[in-house]
Amino acid sequence: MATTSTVKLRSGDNEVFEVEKQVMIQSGTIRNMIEDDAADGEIPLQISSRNLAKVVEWCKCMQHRDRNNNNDNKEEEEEEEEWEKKFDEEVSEDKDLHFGLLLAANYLEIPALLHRLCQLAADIVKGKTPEEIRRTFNIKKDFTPEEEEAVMDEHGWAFHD
Amino acid sequence: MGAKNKRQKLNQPSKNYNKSGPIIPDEIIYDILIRVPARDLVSFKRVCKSWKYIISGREFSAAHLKYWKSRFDVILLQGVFPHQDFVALDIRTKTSHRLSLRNLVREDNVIVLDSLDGLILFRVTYSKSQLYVCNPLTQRLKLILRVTPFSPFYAPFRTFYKLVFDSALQKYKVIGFCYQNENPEFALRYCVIELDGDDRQEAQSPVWRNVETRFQHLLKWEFNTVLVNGLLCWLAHNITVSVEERLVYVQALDIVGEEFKEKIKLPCQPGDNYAANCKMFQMENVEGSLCVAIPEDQNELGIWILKDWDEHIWIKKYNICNGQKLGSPFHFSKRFSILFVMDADETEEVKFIVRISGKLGSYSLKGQHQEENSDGSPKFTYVPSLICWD
Repeated sequence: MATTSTVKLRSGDNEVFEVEKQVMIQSGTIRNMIEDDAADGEIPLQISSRNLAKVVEWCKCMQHRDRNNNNDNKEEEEEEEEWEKKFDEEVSEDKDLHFGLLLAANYLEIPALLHRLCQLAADIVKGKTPEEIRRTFNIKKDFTPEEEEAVMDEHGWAFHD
Repeated sequence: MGAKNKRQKLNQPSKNYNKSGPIIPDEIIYDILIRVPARDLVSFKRVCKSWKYIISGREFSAAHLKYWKSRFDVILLQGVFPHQDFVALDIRTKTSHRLSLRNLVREDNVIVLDSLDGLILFRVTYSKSQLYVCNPLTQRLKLILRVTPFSPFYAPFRTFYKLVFDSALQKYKVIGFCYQNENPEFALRYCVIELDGDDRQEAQSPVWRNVETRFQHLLKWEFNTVLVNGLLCWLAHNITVSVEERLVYVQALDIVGEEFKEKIKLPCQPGDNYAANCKMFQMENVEGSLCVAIPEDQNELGIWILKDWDEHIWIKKYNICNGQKLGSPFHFSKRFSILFVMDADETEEVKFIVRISGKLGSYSLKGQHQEENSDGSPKFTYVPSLICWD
């Protein structure tokens, strides 16, 4: 039986975060471990302390918001909105953080965070050229010039500015 | 997965990094691309093979449609003759892109008849016998022969074609309507055709089914329809009575059952200046409810919502100022809805009356589409998404 109300998460660079279980059950991965009584002791995660701190912060904020959902506290609501806005801005401006969090949210199975981050990524890629996309996502172009031309031909008629 | 496995998984070193930074796995790329507007996806196929593979997948198309169906943020404006290209306009970002249907069919004069979920139903002017349904982003094109049950009846009978989605069959259908204005002897007729996956042009054209109706309320001046929860709705009146006694009804066709619903009387009627007032009526789908704008006096429009289809309960939502002539109405999403589109004839402006979080406001796009709007009557149709119909 689980005896404590917190879990300890150890980051890839060996920093330990002690977080309430109630907060971390937003993570499917952690929730499974708690349910399987496998969350006692430290849980080692391949996530940097910077990214893990951000994930924990996000989970805390969401849990706080859900708990206060029925509350009509305008001030708190505004504060939360402000926090989310800041989170969005911070993530959008910092690619390493953004991608690190994407991987972390995927790895920890936190759908709401993953969706938020995917939406931010979608907003960023909109309107970019394929070359800009490759740079953003560290992707190597694996088309031969002929293949690329074939793709362009296929859709060349569809949209042109 | 057991706890032991979980921990093993967690202990595995991450493979998601290379020298230049993190590599985002395809499953996340998939989730990101779902949220990218269709017009960008076309060029994103050139990024790399795996992106092309993701975007070209049938499953992806379906998921992309599902995501974008609820986000009608793009409308399609048709240019007027001879500039028959189209402009896709994103309401949120105020960006626009050209879309060339005429390059697809290699014909100059494309006439769009209807549009749904990004599919476009159109014909080309030279051909009276062929209709096309096209998915502009996947280049899928379906030819439908217009040899319909109406064929013995040419003018003065009017025909209209509508593209609808049958949620039971999970298929798109084209419905053809035929009527003769002001002739009570000739009831509305309609026929249906289902779209399936075989979209090769040389494949046999699908066959029209004639649907029997005993439909007494003939259509009016034009055939504006709106889709609400699987019902194709339009305004109709009974022409068997004199103008003074005429009432305007909502008539609806259940797309799945192919049956007419009982007609529903509008909460306010056009009154004295019948013909002129009728032209001011507008319908829309507001978050799954039928919404009708009714002129209440010279300066005001009442916006009514049909709250209960069975009990015929209407609720009045707003009054809006009716100072300007209205163009075609449009287009809704949960956060943001366009109630009505104003005519752009004098100011080079396309004006929308919008509702954002329950409040009314107006929104305008100035000078962007002057050429397309030069005849003062732009056509607007939704093109929200990339889709496939099977």
